[in-house]
Amino acid sequence: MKMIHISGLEKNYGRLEVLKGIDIDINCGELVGYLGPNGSGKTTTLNIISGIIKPDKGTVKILGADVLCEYEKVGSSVSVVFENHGLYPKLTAGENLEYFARLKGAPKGVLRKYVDNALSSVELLEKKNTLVSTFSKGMMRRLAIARALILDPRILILDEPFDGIDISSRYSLIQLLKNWIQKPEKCILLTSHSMADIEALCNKLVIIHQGRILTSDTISSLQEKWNKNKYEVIVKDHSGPSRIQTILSKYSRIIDLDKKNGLFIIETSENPAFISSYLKEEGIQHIEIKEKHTSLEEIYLELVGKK
Amino acid sequence: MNNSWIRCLKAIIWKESIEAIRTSKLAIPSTILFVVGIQLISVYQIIGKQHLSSANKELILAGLTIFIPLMSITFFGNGLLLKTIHEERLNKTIHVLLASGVPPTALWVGKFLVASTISYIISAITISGFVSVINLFFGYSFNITSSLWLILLVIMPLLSIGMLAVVSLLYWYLKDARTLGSIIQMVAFLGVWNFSLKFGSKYPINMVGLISLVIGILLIGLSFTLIKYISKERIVNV
Repeated sequence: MKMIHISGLEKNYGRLEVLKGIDIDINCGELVGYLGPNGSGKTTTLNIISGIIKPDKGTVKILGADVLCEYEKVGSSVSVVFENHGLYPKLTAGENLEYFARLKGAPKGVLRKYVDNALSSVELLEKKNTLVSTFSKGMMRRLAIARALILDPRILILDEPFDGIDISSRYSLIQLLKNWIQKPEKCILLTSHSMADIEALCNKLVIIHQGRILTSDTISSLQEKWNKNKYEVIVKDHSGPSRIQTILSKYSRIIDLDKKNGLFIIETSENPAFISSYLKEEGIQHIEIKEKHTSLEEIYLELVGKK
Repeated sequence: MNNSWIRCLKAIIWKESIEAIRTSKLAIPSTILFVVGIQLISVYQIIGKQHLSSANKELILAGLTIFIPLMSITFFGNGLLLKTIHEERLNKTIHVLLASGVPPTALWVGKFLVASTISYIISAITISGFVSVINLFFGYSFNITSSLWLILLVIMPLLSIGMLAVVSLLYWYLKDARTLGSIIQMVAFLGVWNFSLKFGSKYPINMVGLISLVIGILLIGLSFTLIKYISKERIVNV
Protein backbone atom coordinates (compact mmCIF):
# COMPACT_ATOMS: atom_id res chain seq x y z
CA MET A 1 0.00 0.00 0.00
CA LYS A 2 1.32 3.43 -0.95
CA MET A 3 1.54 5.61 2.14
CA ILE A 4 3.14 8.61 0.41
CA HIS A 5 3.05 9.21 -3.32
CA ILE A 6 4.93 12.18 -4.77
CA SER A 7 4.82 12.85 -8.47
CA GLY A 8 6.40 15.57 -10.59
CA LEU A 9 6.90 17.89 -7.64
CA GLU A 10 8.26 21.33 -8.47
CA LYS A 11 8.83 24.34 -6.26
CA ASN A 12 10.47 27.66 -6.98
CA TYR A 13 11.26 30.52 -4.64
CA GLY A 14 11.36 33.43 -7.04
CA ARG A 15 14.00 32.51 -9.63
CA LEU A 16 15.48 29.80 -7.44
CA GLU A 17 14.35 26.35 -8.56
CA VAL A 18 14.35 24.28 -5.39
CA LEU A 19 12.57 21.14 -6.60
CA LYS A 20 12.72 20.15 -10.25
CA GLY A 21 10.29 17.29 -10.70
CA ILE A 22 10.54 14.97 -7.72
CA ASP A 23 8.99 11.49 -7.74
CA ILE A 24 9.01 9.41 -4.58
CA ASP A 25 6.85 6.50 -3.44
CA ILE A 26 6.88 5.26 0.12
CA ASN A 27 5.08 2.04 0.96
CA CYS A 28 3.93 0.35 4.14
CA GLY A 29 6.78 -0.83 6.35
CA GLU A 30 9.39 1.24 4.56
CA LEU A 31 11.90 3.24 6.51
CA VAL A 32 13.23 5.72 4.01
CA GLY A 33 16.35 7.82 4.44
CA TYR A 34 16.13 11.07 2.51
CA LEU A 35 19.60 12.40 1.90
CA GLY A 36 21.07 15.37 0.18
CA PRO A 37 23.53 18.21 0.71
CA ASN A 38 22.40 21.39 2.45
CA GLY A 39 20.07 23.36 0.20
CA SER A 40 19.24 20.38 -1.99
CA GLY A 41 15.50 20.65 -1.31
CA LYS A 42 15.00 18.16 1.54
CA THR A 43 13.25 20.50 3.95
CA THR A 44 11.11 21.96 1.17
CA THR A 45 9.98 18.44 0.27
CA LEU A 46 9.15 17.70 3.92
CA ASN A 47 7.24 20.99 4.23
CA ILE A 48 5.21 20.13 1.14
CA ILE A 49 4.49 16.58 2.34
CA SER A 50 3.34 17.93 5.69
CA GLY A 51 0.97 20.35 4.00
CA ILE A 52 2.74 23.51 5.11
CA ILE A 53 3.76 24.87 1.74
CA LYS A 54 2.17 24.48 -1.64
CA PRO A 55 4.08 23.08 -4.61
CA ASP A 56 4.12 24.95 -7.92
CA LYS A 57 3.54 21.71 -9.83
CA GLY A 58 3.00 18.06 -9.08
CA THR A 59 0.96 16.09 -6.62
CA VAL A 60 1.55 14.73 -3.14
CA LYS A 61 -0.81 12.12 -1.82
CA ILE A 62 -0.83 10.84 1.72
CA LEU A 63 -2.89 7.69 2.26
CA GLY A 64 -4.53 8.48 -1.06
CA ALA A 65 -5.58 12.02 -0.08
CA ASP A 66 -4.21 15.06 -1.89
CA VAL A 67 -2.30 17.19 0.64
CA LEU A 68 -3.20 20.36 -1.22
CA CYS A 69 -6.90 20.14 -0.54
CA GLU A 70 -7.44 17.30 1.92
CA TYR A 71 -4.56 17.59 4.36
CA GLU A 72 -6.73 18.14 7.41
CA LYS A 73 -8.40 14.77 6.73
CA VAL A 74 -5.12 12.85 6.92
CA GLY A 75 -3.07 15.24 9.08
CA SER A 76 -3.93 13.29 12.22
CA SER A 77 -2.23 10.22 10.68
CA VAL A 78 1.02 12.15 10.23
CA SER A 79 3.52 13.12 12.90
CA VAL A 80 6.47 15.31 12.14
CA VAL A 81 9.64 16.08 14.08
CA PHE A 82 11.35 19.03 12.46
CA GLU A 83 15.02 19.87 12.79
CA ASN A 84 14.13 22.53 15.32
CA HIS A 85 12.34 20.37 17.91
CA GLY A 86 9.17 22.52 17.99
CA LEU A 87 8.42 22.22 21.70
CA TYR A 88 6.89 24.76 24.06
CA PRO A 89 9.63 25.79 26.51
CA LYS A 90 7.19 27.30 29.03
CA LEU A 91 5.24 24.04 29.32
CA THR A 92 6.40 20.94 31.14
CA ALA A 93 7.32 17.77 29.26
CA GLY A 94 3.99 16.22 30.28
CA GLU A 95 2.00 19.28 29.18
CA ASN A 96 3.76 19.35 25.80
CA LEU A 97 2.68 15.78 25.15
CA GLU A 98 -0.80 16.26 26.61
CA TYR A 99 -1.40 19.20 24.27
CA PHE A 100 -0.75 17.08 21.20
CA ALA A 101 -2.72 14.17 22.61
CA ARG A 102 -5.67 16.52 23.09
CA LEU A 103 -5.25 17.96 19.59
CA LYS A 104 -5.31 14.48 18.13
CA GLY A 105 -8.43 13.59 20.10
CA ALA A 106 -7.13 11.27 22.81
CA PRO A 107 -9.99 10.36 25.16
CA LYS A 108 -9.78 12.31 28.44
CA GLY A 109 -9.73 9.21 30.61
CA VAL A 110 -6.55 7.85 29.06
CA LEU A 111 -4.67 11.10 28.43
CA ARG A 112 -2.32 10.56 31.37
CA LYS A 113 -1.68 6.97 30.40
CA TYR A 114 -0.75 8.02 26.87
CA VAL A 115 1.55 10.74 28.18
CA ASP A 116 3.25 8.47 30.72
CA ASN A 117 3.75 5.70 28.17
CA ALA A 118 5.23 8.10 25.64
CA LEU A 119 7.57 9.62 28.23
CA SER A 120 8.65 6.17 29.42
CA SER A 121 9.47 5.13 25.86
CA VAL A 122 12.11 7.87 25.66
CA GLU A 123 13.20 7.53 29.31
CA LEU A 124 11.86 10.92 30.35
CA LEU A 125 9.07 9.91 32.74
CA GLU A 126 10.88 11.34 35.76
CA LYS A 127 11.01 14.71 33.94
CA LYS A 128 7.25 14.80 33.34
CA ASN A 129 6.71 17.91 35.49
CA THR A 130 9.89 19.73 34.46
CA LEU A 131 9.73 22.76 32.21
CA VAL A 132 11.10 22.04 28.75
CA SER A 133 13.16 25.26 28.89
CA THR A 134 15.50 23.46 31.31
CA PHE A 135 16.04 20.48 28.99
CA SER A 136 19.24 19.73 27.10
CA LYS A 137 19.14 19.54 23.30
CA GLY A 138 19.20 15.75 23.42
CA MET A 139 16.31 15.58 25.90
CA MET A 140 14.30 17.94 23.70
CA ARG A 141 14.93 15.67 20.71
CA ARG A 142 13.75 12.63 22.66
CA LEU A 143 10.67 14.48 23.85
CA ALA A 144 9.88 15.61 20.31
CA ILE A 145 10.03 11.98 19.15
CA ALA A 146 7.81 10.91 22.06
CA ARG A 147 5.34 13.60 21.03
CA ALA A 148 5.39 12.36 17.46
CA LEU A 149 4.66 8.80 18.56
CA ILE A 150 2.13 9.60 21.28
CA LEU A 151 -0.96 8.69 19.31
CA ASP A 152 0.57 6.06 17.11
CA PRO A 153 0.46 7.85 13.74
CA ARG A 154 0.71 5.92 10.48
CA ILE A 155 3.34 8.16 8.92
CA LEU A 156 6.32 9.51 10.79
CA ILE A 157 8.46 12.26 9.26
CA LEU A 158 11.73 12.96 11.04
CA ASP A 159 14.08 15.78 10.11
CA GLU A 160 17.52 15.13 11.63
CA PRO A 161 16.05 13.14 14.53
CA PHE A 162 19.32 12.18 16.19
CA ASP A 163 21.05 15.53 16.05
CA GLY A 164 22.52 16.36 19.47
CA ILE A 165 21.64 13.01 21.04
CA ASP A 166 24.23 11.01 22.99
CA ILE A 167 25.20 7.51 21.82
CA SER A 168 23.10 5.51 24.30
CA SER A 169 19.96 7.62 23.71
CA ARG A 170 20.53 7.34 19.97
CA TYR A 171 20.71 3.58 20.25
CA SER A 172 17.49 3.45 22.33
CA LEU A 173 15.68 5.69 19.85
CA ILE A 174 16.79 3.59 16.90
CA GLN A 175 15.44 0.49 18.67
CA LEU A 176 12.21 2.35 19.49
CA LEU A 177 11.70 3.34 15.85
CA LYS A 178 12.63 -0.13 14.59
CA ASN A 179 10.02 -1.66 16.89
CA TRP A 180 7.45 0.93 15.90
CA ILE A 181 7.85 0.27 12.18
CA GLN A 182 7.08 -3.43 12.78
CA LYS A 183 3.45 -2.49 13.49
CA PRO A 184 1.10 -2.78 10.54
CA GLU A 185 0.61 0.09 8.09
CA LYS A 186 3.46 2.33 9.19
CA CYS A 187 6.21 4.14 7.35
CA ILE A 188 9.01 6.52 8.29
CA LEU A 189 10.69 9.17 6.18
CA LEU A 190 13.76 10.64 7.77
CA THR A 191 16.53 13.00 6.82
CA SER A 192 19.94 12.80 8.41
CA HIS A 193 23.48 13.88 7.74
CA SER A 194 24.73 10.78 9.50
CA MET A 195 25.23 7.75 7.26
CA ALA A 196 25.58 5.61 10.36
CA ASP A 197 22.02 6.56 11.37
CA ILE A 198 20.70 5.86 7.90
CA GLU A 199 22.48 2.49 7.71
CA ALA A 200 21.31 1.54 11.19
CA LEU A 201 17.69 2.41 10.59
CA CYS A 202 16.62 2.62 6.96
CA ASN A 203 15.83 0.00 4.38
CA LYS A 204 15.45 2.44 1.50
CA LEU A 205 17.44 5.46 0.40
CA VAL A 206 16.43 8.48 -1.65
CA ILE A 207 19.19 10.90 -2.60
CA ILE A 208 18.33 14.39 -3.76
CA HIS A 209 20.77 16.88 -5.23
CA GLN A 210 20.03 20.32 -6.66
CA GLY A 211 16.30 19.61 -6.63
CA ARG A 212 16.46 16.28 -8.51
CA ILE A 213 16.31 12.72 -7.25
CA LEU A 214 19.61 11.00 -8.03
CA THR A 215 18.61 7.59 -6.76
CA SER A 216 15.73 5.90 -5.02
CA ASP A 217 16.29 2.30 -4.05
CA THR A 218 16.66 -0.13 -1.19
CA ILE A 219 20.06 0.16 0.49
CA SER A 220 21.04 -3.44 -0.27
CA SER A 221 20.02 -3.17 -3.90
CA LEU A 222 21.82 0.14 -4.28
CA GLN A 223 25.05 -1.27 -2.84
CA GLU A 224 24.71 -4.38 -4.99
CA LYS A 225 24.21 -2.32 -8.15
CA TRP A 226 26.98 0.02 -7.21
CA ASN A 227 29.51 -2.73 -6.56
CA LYS A 228 28.57 -4.88 -9.54
CA ASN A 229 31.63 -5.67 -11.68
CA LYS A 230 33.84 -3.46 -9.53
CA TYR A 231 37.03 -4.85 -8.08
CA GLU A 232 39.98 -3.65 -6.08
CA VAL A 233 43.25 -4.76 -7.66
CA ILE A 234 46.31 -4.42 -5.44
CA VAL A 235 49.56 -4.82 -7.31
CA LYS A 236 53.00 -4.83 -5.79
CA ASP A 237 55.15 -4.34 -8.83
CA HIS A 238 58.03 -2.02 -9.56
CA SER A 239 57.41 -1.63 -13.28
CA GLY A 240 55.44 1.56 -12.66
CA PRO A 241 51.76 2.32 -12.40
CA SER A 242 51.45 3.65 -15.93
CA ARG A 243 52.43 0.29 -17.40
CA ILE A 244 49.95 -1.52 -15.14
CA GLN A 245 47.31 1.01 -16.11
CA THR A 246 47.88 0.24 -19.76
CA ILE A 247 47.69 -3.50 -19.15
CA LEU A 248 44.55 -3.25 -17.02
CA SER A 249 42.84 -1.00 -19.55
CA LYS A 250 42.71 -3.80 -22.05
CA TYR A 251 39.95 -5.66 -20.18
CA SER A 252 38.66 -3.12 -17.73
CA ARG A 253 37.93 0.50 -17.03
CA ILE A 254 40.00 2.08 -14.31
CA ILE A 255 37.72 4.04 -12.00
CA ASP A 256 40.23 5.11 -9.42
CA LEU A 257 43.81 4.48 -8.47
CA ASP A 258 46.09 4.95 -5.54
CA LYS A 259 49.58 4.95 -7.08
CA LYS A 260 51.38 4.99 -3.74
CA ASN A 261 49.75 1.79 -2.51
CA GLY A 262 49.42 0.17 -5.93
CA LEU A 263 45.64 0.08 -5.63
CA PHE A 264 43.54 0.11 -8.78
CA ILE A 265 39.78 0.16 -8.70
CA ILE A 266 38.46 -1.31 -11.90
CA GLU A 267 35.16 -2.06 -13.52
CA THR A 268 35.06 -5.08 -15.73
CA SER A 269 32.66 -7.65 -17.04
CA GLU A 270 35.45 -10.23 -17.00
CA ASN A 271 35.91 -12.83 -14.32
CA PRO A 272 38.41 -11.65 -11.62
CA ALA A 273 40.31 -14.95 -12.00
CA PHE A 274 40.78 -14.15 -15.69
CA ILE A 275 42.09 -10.66 -14.88
CA SER A 276 44.47 -12.16 -12.33
CA SER A 277 45.88 -14.72 -14.77
CA TYR A 278 46.11 -12.10 -17.52
CA LEU A 279 48.15 -9.82 -15.25
CA LYS A 280 50.45 -12.74 -14.34
CA GLU A 281 50.90 -13.51 -18.03
CA GLU A 282 52.00 -9.93 -18.47
CA GLY A 283 54.66 -10.50 -15.85
CA ILE A 284 53.03 -8.68 -12.98
CA GLN A 285 53.39 -10.47 -9.65
CA HIS A 286 51.90 -10.13 -6.18
CA ILE A 287 48.37 -9.48 -7.29
CA GLU A 288 45.36 -9.40 -5.03
CA ILE A 289 41.90 -8.96 -6.51
CA LYS A 290 38.79 -8.62 -4.37
CA GLU A 291 35.24 -7.42 -4.87
CA LYS A 292 34.87 -3.78 -4.06
CA HIS A 293 32.68 -2.90 -1.12
CA THR A 294 31.43 0.65 -1.41
CA SER A 295 30.04 2.21 1.74
CA LEU A 296 26.86 4.28 1.64
CA GLU A 297 28.94 7.35 2.31
CA GLU A 298 31.08 6.69 -0.77
CA ILE A 299 28.02 6.06 -2.92
CA TYR A 300 26.47 9.27 -1.66
CA LEU A 301 29.65 11.29 -2.27
CA GLU A 302 30.04 9.90 -5.77
CA LEU A 303 26.41 10.59 -6.60
CA VAL A 304 26.50 14.19 -5.48
CA GLY A 305 29.80 14.68 -7.26
CA LYS A 306 31.98 15.30 -4.25
CA LYS A 307 34.32 12.45 -5.06
CA MET B 1 -16.67 24.07 12.12
CA ASN B 2 -16.68 20.29 12.44
CA ASN B 3 -15.90 18.12 15.47
CA SER B 4 -12.20 18.06 14.71
CA TRP B 5 -12.10 21.87 14.54
CA ILE B 6 -13.84 22.18 17.91
CA ARG B 7 -11.61 19.51 19.48
CA CYS B 8 -8.52 21.38 18.29
CA LEU B 9 -9.92 24.68 19.55
CA LYS B 10 -10.51 23.21 23.03
CA ALA B 11 -6.95 21.84 23.14
CA ILE B 12 -5.52 25.18 22.00
CA ILE B 13 -7.52 27.08 24.63
CA TRP B 14 -6.26 24.65 27.31
CA LYS B 15 -2.62 25.12 26.29
CA GLU B 16 -2.81 28.88 25.70
CA SER B 17 -4.43 29.44 29.11
CA ILE B 18 -1.71 27.52 30.96
CA GLU B 19 1.03 29.31 29.05
CA ALA B 20 -0.53 32.77 29.37
CA ILE B 21 -1.10 32.51 33.12
CA ARG B 22 2.37 31.05 33.69
CA THR B 23 4.15 33.72 31.67
CA SER B 24 2.05 36.74 32.67
CA LYS B 25 2.55 36.68 36.44
CA LEU B 26 4.27 40.05 36.28
CA ALA B 27 2.41 41.48 33.29
CA ILE B 28 -1.06 41.12 34.89
CA PRO B 29 -0.45 43.22 38.05
CA SER B 30 1.73 45.63 36.04
CA THR B 31 -1.09 46.28 33.55
CA ILE B 32 -3.60 46.91 36.36
CA LEU B 33 -1.26 49.28 38.22
CA PHE B 34 -0.17 51.04 35.04
CA VAL B 35 -3.72 51.70 33.81
CA VAL B 36 -4.98 52.83 37.22
CA GLY B 37 -1.85 54.96 37.64
CA ILE B 38 -2.15 56.71 34.29
CA GLN B 39 -5.87 57.34 34.80
CA LEU B 40 -5.02 58.94 38.14
CA ILE B 41 -3.15 61.67 36.22
CA SER B 42 -6.48 62.49 34.55
CA VAL B 43 -8.23 62.29 37.92
CA TYR B 44 -5.88 64.89 39.42
CA GLN B 45 -6.53 67.23 36.48
CA ILE B 46 -10.31 66.89 36.89
CA ILE B 47 -10.30 67.26 40.64
CA GLY B 48 -8.11 70.36 40.29
CA LYS B 49 -10.73 72.18 38.19
CA GLN B 50 -12.24 74.58 40.72
CA HIS B 51 -15.16 75.70 38.56
CA LEU B 52 -16.68 72.19 38.47
CA SER B 53 -19.15 71.06 41.07
CA SER B 54 -18.69 67.78 42.93
CA ALA B 55 -21.58 66.23 40.99
CA ASN B 56 -20.00 67.25 37.68
CA LYS B 57 -16.63 65.93 38.76
CA GLU B 58 -18.22 62.60 39.68
CA LEU B 59 -19.88 62.49 36.26
CA ILE B 60 -16.58 63.10 34.47
CA LEU B 61 -14.81 60.53 36.65
CA ALA B 62 -17.51 58.02 35.73
CA GLY B 63 -16.87 58.92 32.09
CA LEU B 64 -13.17 58.15 32.58
CA THR B 65 -13.93 54.56 33.56
CA ILE B 66 -15.27 53.70 30.12
CA PHE B 67 -11.76 54.01 28.69
CA ILE B 68 -10.27 51.52 31.13
CA PRO B 69 -11.35 48.41 29.15
CA LEU B 70 -9.87 49.98 26.02
CA MET B 71 -6.55 50.66 27.72
CA SER B 72 -6.16 47.42 29.63
CA ILE B 73 -7.36 45.12 26.84
CA THR B 74 -5.31 46.95 24.22
CA PHE B 75 -2.22 46.89 26.40
CA PHE B 76 -2.32 43.38 27.82
CA GLY B 77 -4.17 41.52 25.06
CA ASN B 78 -2.02 43.00 22.33
CA GLY B 79 1.18 42.11 24.18
CA LEU B 80 0.01 38.57 24.85
CA LEU B 81 -1.08 37.93 21.26
CA LEU B 82 2.11 39.38 19.85
CA LYS B 83 4.20 37.19 22.15
CA THR B 84 2.29 33.98 21.57
CA ILE B 85 2.23 34.33 17.78
CA HIS B 86 5.89 35.34 17.60
CA GLU B 87 7.05 32.52 19.90
CA GLU B 88 5.00 29.98 17.99
CA ARG B 89 7.01 30.90 14.89
CA LEU B 90 10.32 31.24 16.71
CA ASN B 91 10.10 27.77 18.28
CA LYS B 92 8.71 26.36 15.00
CA THR B 93 5.86 24.84 16.98
CA ILE B 94 3.54 26.28 14.35
CA HIS B 95 5.15 23.94 11.78
CA VAL B 96 4.43 20.94 13.98
CA LEU B 97 0.84 22.03 14.61
CA LEU B 98 0.02 22.64 10.96
CA ALA B 99 1.76 19.42 9.94
CA SER B 100 -0.44 17.59 12.44
CA GLY B 101 -3.52 18.79 10.61
CA VAL B 102 -4.52 21.49 13.12
CA PRO B 103 -6.73 24.01 11.26
CA PRO B 104 -4.99 27.42 11.20
CA THR B 105 -8.28 29.17 11.93
CA ALA B 106 -8.75 27.13 15.13
CA LEU B 107 -5.24 28.10 16.16
CA TRP B 108 -5.86 31.80 15.64
CA VAL B 109 -9.30 31.72 17.27
CA GLY B 110 -7.92 29.83 20.29
CA LYS B 111 -5.14 32.33 20.85
CA PHE B 112 -7.48 35.24 20.32
CA LEU B 113 -10.15 33.90 22.70
CA VAL B 114 -7.64 33.28 25.50
CA ALA B 115 -5.99 36.71 25.09
CA SER B 116 -9.43 38.38 25.00
CA THR B 117 -10.76 36.51 28.03
CA ILE B 118 -7.72 37.16 30.22
CA SER B 119 -7.65 40.82 29.11
CA TYR B 120 -11.36 41.10 29.89
CA ILE B 121 -10.83 39.80 33.42
CA ILE B 122 -7.91 42.21 33.87
CA SER B 123 -10.11 45.03 32.60
CA ALA B 124 -12.84 44.19 35.14
CA ILE B 125 -10.29 44.06 37.97
CA THR B 126 -8.78 47.38 36.81
CA ILE B 127 -12.22 49.05 36.78
CA SER B 128 -12.90 47.82 40.34
CA GLY B 129 -9.45 49.00 41.41
CA PHE B 130 -9.92 52.41 39.84
CA VAL B 131 -13.39 52.92 41.37
CA SER B 132 -12.08 51.81 44.79
CA VAL B 133 -9.10 54.20 44.62
CA ILE B 134 -11.36 57.13 43.66
CA ASN B 135 -13.68 56.23 46.49
CA LEU B 136 -11.13 55.53 49.19
CA PHE B 137 -8.45 58.13 48.46
CA PHE B 138 -10.42 60.97 46.85
CA GLY B 139 -13.81 60.53 48.49
CA TYR B 140 -15.81 60.57 45.23
CA SER B 141 -18.46 57.93 44.89
CA PHE B 142 -20.07 57.92 41.51
CA ASN B 143 -23.20 56.04 40.70
CA ILE B 144 -22.66 53.31 38.10
CA THR B 145 -25.92 53.14 36.21
CA SER B 146 -27.08 50.08 34.30
CA SER B 147 -26.11 51.72 30.98
CA LEU B 148 -22.63 52.45 32.36
CA TRP B 149 -22.35 48.81 33.49
CA LEU B 150 -23.35 47.75 29.97
CA ILE B 151 -20.71 50.02 28.46
CA LEU B 152 -18.00 48.96 30.92
CA LEU B 153 -18.59 45.24 30.80
CA VAL B 154 -19.94 44.66 27.29
CA ILE B 155 -19.60 47.46 24.78
CA MET B 156 -16.11 48.82 25.47
CA PRO B 157 -14.60 45.36 25.90
CA LEU B 158 -16.22 44.40 22.57
CA LEU B 159 -14.66 47.42 20.88
CA SER B 160 -11.27 46.62 22.42
CA ILE B 161 -11.52 42.96 21.46
CA GLY B 162 -12.46 44.05 17.93
CA MET B 163 -9.25 46.08 17.82
CA LEU B 164 -7.34 43.10 19.16
CA ALA B 165 -8.82 40.91 16.44
CA VAL B 166 -7.58 43.27 13.74
CA VAL B 167 -4.06 43.57 15.14
CA SER B 168 -3.76 39.84 15.74
CA LEU B 169 -4.82 39.30 12.12
CA LEU B 170 -1.97 41.59 11.18
CA TYR B 171 0.47 39.65 13.38
CA TRP B 172 -0.77 36.42 11.81
CA TYR B 173 -0.03 37.80 8.35
CA LEU B 174 3.22 39.70 8.85
CA LYS B 175 6.62 37.99 8.92
CA ASP B 176 7.81 39.72 12.06
CA ALA B 177 5.35 42.05 13.72
CA ARG B 178 7.32 42.73 16.89
CA THR B 179 8.28 46.31 16.07
CA LEU B 180 4.88 47.16 14.66
CA GLY B 181 3.22 45.40 17.58
CA SER B 182 5.13 47.44 20.16
CA ILE B 183 4.26 50.66 18.30
CA ILE B 184 0.58 49.69 18.09
CA GLN B 185 0.60 48.86 21.79
CA MET B 186 2.02 52.21 22.88
CA VAL B 187 0.15 54.33 20.33
CA ALA B 188 -3.18 52.68 21.09
CA PHE B 189 -2.62 52.92 24.81
CA LEU B 190 -1.55 56.57 24.86
CA GLY B 191 -4.12 57.41 22.18
CA VAL B 192 -6.95 56.02 24.26
CA TRP B 193 -5.62 57.80 27.33
CA ASN B 194 -5.48 61.15 25.50
CA PHE B 195 -8.91 60.49 24.06
CA SER B 196 -10.24 59.80 27.54
CA LEU B 197 -8.75 63.09 28.78
CA LYS B 198 -10.27 65.18 26.00
CA PHE B 199 -13.56 63.49 25.38
CA GLY B 200 -14.25 61.71 28.68
CA SER B 201 -17.33 63.78 29.34
CA LYS B 202 -17.96 65.53 26.02
CA TYR B 203 -20.27 63.05 24.35
CA PRO B 204 -23.32 61.31 25.73
CA ILE B 205 -22.35 57.93 27.12
CA ASN B 206 -25.12 56.13 25.21
CA MET B 207 -23.94 57.50 21.86
CA VAL B 208 -20.33 56.54 22.57
CA GLY B 209 -21.59 53.10 23.58
CA LEU B 210 -23.63 52.57 20.44
CA ILE B 211 -20.84 53.63 18.07
CA SER B 212 -18.32 51.49 19.95
CA LEU B 213 -20.62 48.49 19.82
CA VAL B 214 -21.04 48.75 16.06
CA ILE B 215 -17.31 49.23 15.44
CA GLY B 216 -16.39 46.37 17.78
CA ILE B 217 -18.74 43.87 16.14
CA LEU B 218 -17.65 44.94 12.65
CA LEU B 219 -13.96 44.54 13.48
CA ILE B 220 -14.44 41.08 14.98
CA GLY B 221 -16.57 39.99 12.00
CA LEU B 222 -14.03 41.35 9.53
CA SER B 223 -11.13 39.57 11.20
CA PHE B 224 -12.98 36.23 11.37
CA THR B 225 -13.74 36.54 7.66
CA LEU B 226 -10.24 37.50 6.57
CA ILE B 227 -8.34 34.96 8.69
CA LYS B 228 -9.50 32.10 6.44
CA TYR B 229 -7.68 33.60 3.48
CA ILE B 230 -4.20 33.62 5.03
CA SER B 231 -2.28 30.63 3.66
CA LYS B 232 -0.27 28.21 5.80
CA GLU B 233 2.82 29.25 3.86
CA ARG B 234 2.25 32.82 4.97
CA ILE B 235 1.52 31.82 8.58
CA VAL B 236 4.76 29.89 9.00
CA ASN B 237 6.64 32.45 6.94
CA VAL B 238 8.59 30.00 4.84
